[in-house]
Formats: sequence, C-alpha cells, structure tokens
Amino acid sequence: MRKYAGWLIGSGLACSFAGEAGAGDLAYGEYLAGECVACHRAGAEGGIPPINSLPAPYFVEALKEYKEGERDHALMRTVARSLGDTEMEALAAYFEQLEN
Amino acid sequence: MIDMTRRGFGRIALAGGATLAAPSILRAQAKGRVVVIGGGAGGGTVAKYVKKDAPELDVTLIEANPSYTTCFYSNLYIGGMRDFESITHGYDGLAGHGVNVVNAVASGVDAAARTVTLEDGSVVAYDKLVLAPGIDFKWDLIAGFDEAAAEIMPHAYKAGPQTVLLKEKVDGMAEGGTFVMVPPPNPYRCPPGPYERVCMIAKRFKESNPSAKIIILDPKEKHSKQALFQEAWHQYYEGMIEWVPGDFGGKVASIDTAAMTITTEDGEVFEADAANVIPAQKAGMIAEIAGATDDSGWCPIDPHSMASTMVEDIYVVGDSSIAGDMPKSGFSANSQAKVCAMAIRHELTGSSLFPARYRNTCWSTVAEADAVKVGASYEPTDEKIASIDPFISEVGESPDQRLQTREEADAWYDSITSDIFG
Repeated sequence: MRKYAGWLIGSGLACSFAGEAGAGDLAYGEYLAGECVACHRAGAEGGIPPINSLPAPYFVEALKEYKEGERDHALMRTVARSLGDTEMEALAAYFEQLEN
Repeated sequence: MIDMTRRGFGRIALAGGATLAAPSILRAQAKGRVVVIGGGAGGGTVAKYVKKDAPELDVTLIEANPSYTTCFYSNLYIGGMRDFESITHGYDGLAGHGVNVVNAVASGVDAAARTVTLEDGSVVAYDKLVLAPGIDFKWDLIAGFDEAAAEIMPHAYKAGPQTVLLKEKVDGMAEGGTFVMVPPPNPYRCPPGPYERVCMIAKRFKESNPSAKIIILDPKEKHSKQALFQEAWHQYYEGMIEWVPGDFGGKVASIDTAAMTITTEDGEVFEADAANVIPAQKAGMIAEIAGATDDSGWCPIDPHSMASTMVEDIYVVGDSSIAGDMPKSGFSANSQAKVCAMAIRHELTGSSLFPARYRNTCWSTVAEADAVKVGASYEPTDEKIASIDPFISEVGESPDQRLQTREEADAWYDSITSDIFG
C-alpha cells in the first residue's frame, strides 16, 4: 500500500485511488499540484516554464535530478526534496493529462 | 463558546454523542455554506479552490473593495517598474467559477448562530467561515502617528490609495531631500517588504533625484535578507541609504507630521522631506470581532488544517494567522488557503483529506535587473507549522543568476495572481 493511503479519509476517492494504484493518483496529484501552480502556469513564456502536458517519465526524472542535485535550482531542489516517489508519480500523472 | 479550545469541543462531542445524533442529521441537510471574509491572496484562493473542487457547496466571498491591489509587487509600482493596473485584480474570475462575490464590509460574526453581519445590516449564514482579513495597524505605539498622520507620511502597507500616495511623495520630494523610512516591529506582513521598498525608492531617486538620501529608522536589530539588501544598497545605491538599527538609536518614539519631524527614543530628531511610516500590525479587525485572536492580536490555528483554535467552524488563513515559521506573505496565504480549502471540503462533503503541506518563496527586486529570493518547505507539527529545508539567494551571485531570479519573480507574479483570481 502506498504510504499515504492511511491519510485518505473520504471513502469515495479512497476507492478511486485503489483502482489506480501504480499509475499515479490524480486526486493526490491535483492536491500536490497546488504547490506548483503558484509559480508554473499553462502557456507561460519566460521566467518559469509551463509544466502541463509534460510526459510523466520525464517529469519524474526531472524532479529526481533536482532532488539529487544534478539540476541546479535552489527552490526546485527544495521542492523535490519534499517529494517521495509516490508524490512525484502522482504529480507527473496529474500534469501529463493537462493541456498547456 | 468563543473562549473554548478545540480540545474542549472534542470533549463535548464525546460526552453528548447520543443526544447530538438527531440534530446532526438536520444539520447535515443544511450544510454546504462556506463564507470567506477578505478577497486577497488567502481568501480569494480558498473561495476558488472550495468551489472549483466542490461545486455543490455554496461559496460566498465578502470583500470590501470591488478590486484587489496586491501588496506584493506594490514596491515595483513605487519603483516605476509596474503600472498600478497591472497589480490590481477584479473578481470576475472568481465569479466565473461560481463564487458568490459580495462587495460589502463584514462588521460582525456570531459564532454561536454561525452568521456574519454586513455593514448594511444584512446577515449571511455559514457552516464554515474563513477569515482572511489581512492586517490592521496598531496606531497607538508611536506618539503622534494615527490614521490622519498616514495621509502625510503614508504607510502604503495596504495596497491601494496609500501606495499611490507614497509614490507621489517619493516622486515629488525636494531635490537633495531626506526620505525617512520607519519599518514595523515583528511580526508583520512581508518581512523583506520595507527593505525592497528602500531599493525601489532609491532606484527612483537615482534616476531623478540623485542627491537625495534615505534614512531607515528601524525598531529591529536585524531584518529579512539583510546581507542581500546591504549588498544591493552598496552595489547600486552607494552613499544614498543609511540603516539605523534599533540598538543603535533606530527606535522611533514620536512623530510630528506638521513639523515633518521624527524623534527617536534616544531623543534624536530627524527632519524628513518625505517619509514612509509602517506601523506595528495585528490581525484584521473582523478576526478580533469574531473572537479568533489571542492576546498577541493574531489568530492561533491548527497547523494541520488552518482551523481556528479559538472558535468552532472558523478557519483563518494568511497574514492574520499565527502560522508558525511561515512568514506573512501572499505566497504563504495562497499555500495555507489550499490546505484550508481541502479541510473544509472534507468536513462538508467527506472528500479526501491529504496531509497538509505548505510552501513559501519571497522574491525581492533590488534593482532593474536584479532580484533575490528566500523560501522553504513547511510541514505541520502538533505545535506549529515548521520550516524544513530553507534556501536563500547568496551574496555575490552572478548578474545572469540575478537576472534569472528577476524574470522568475515576474513569472511567479503572473502565475499566483492567475491562481488566486483567474
């Protein structure tokens, strides 16, 4: 079981989560994305890149590179260090299905 | 009820479980009314996120003004880097999401009846109330400085007409004159704000009044991003800015706006050609009226949900809240609002409750092509919202790095205002 399953209290979304195990949970991803959309905006040009519609594997890989210090951005490294694999996969699944 | 702690509520619920069962069914049928007071970064975000993710809930936003000018980025207006319209936002976006936007002043809260009273006497009922009133000022701490005095020496710390007034004072100051800035004591909205403002005022002077001077009479001994601001003052505005910390005579005792003098606790008198005096702060008045403030004048909250620990069914987000290690900032308010919205949706609809997560970043523009930033991740503990993994720009970063941060700040502003109001 994913480590955050115990945090799910509402019955409806807990069921949908169970059905999507392994694919990145969209409800969890949407909640986590609240942190991202304060800075990342669809269609943005310059400054901060848009992240909607990025392929999920690339999205996860980029976050891991920030987390491991292979990408150099102090803010994004802090963000990535606050995310486990489950969170990264949930975010990746959520943003992948959004249009930019 | 107002003085009761949340722990107290729990005991009552356990003790009266059987007898409360029938009324709770009746209440459930009526549940679904969320009222938000204050349409800034915190309140606007709560209203949008509750309605967006739970359209069946009735969400009302009560805001005194027809539009909102962000305090964040208002320094860039003073510095001539933004126009006023670009930092002012209407509520059509929120209305488009189905939020009932009421342009009115909330004057009373009856926590027992769960109603909000508006200045025109009308009453709005709620099941969950969110207070996001921002700050109010403690006018009585500097002798001679009251609301009327702020028309002569603007605070410009609630963005709007005061911001325009301060810019007029800066731009119209006598050639070679002295500008005095009086920052507030802790805690206050936007910790780097007064010092970013000094940069922006100095920028204006450098462009059009290069022999002008800025004196900062600070009640504090240290301030946010201190090394970074001092680096910028040296690099861009050499000889223009003098910072007097509290333990070196910076504490202001009295102000005479007729004589344009500012007198410190040490008795030194400073003559100002223009001044920016930012008073000490407390939670917005409606929070106090609602009984949500403690002796500090701010609102204690549950770090896991932003629920008031003072009053049942009330939440507090943004500057008014005691948010532990989080600074009072628009970014913080936006982040807290998303946790609050999730908690309220869960309470009213049974939707998923994920663990609270918070984030903040504060960008400060120090020159046309130079900005710095500070930020952190935050997580709730039983005691407070605690900072984890902070970061800050470094002294001596390359011009390219600083330009990138400057451009990043503009992108952030567009994104967060779209997130709040769009």
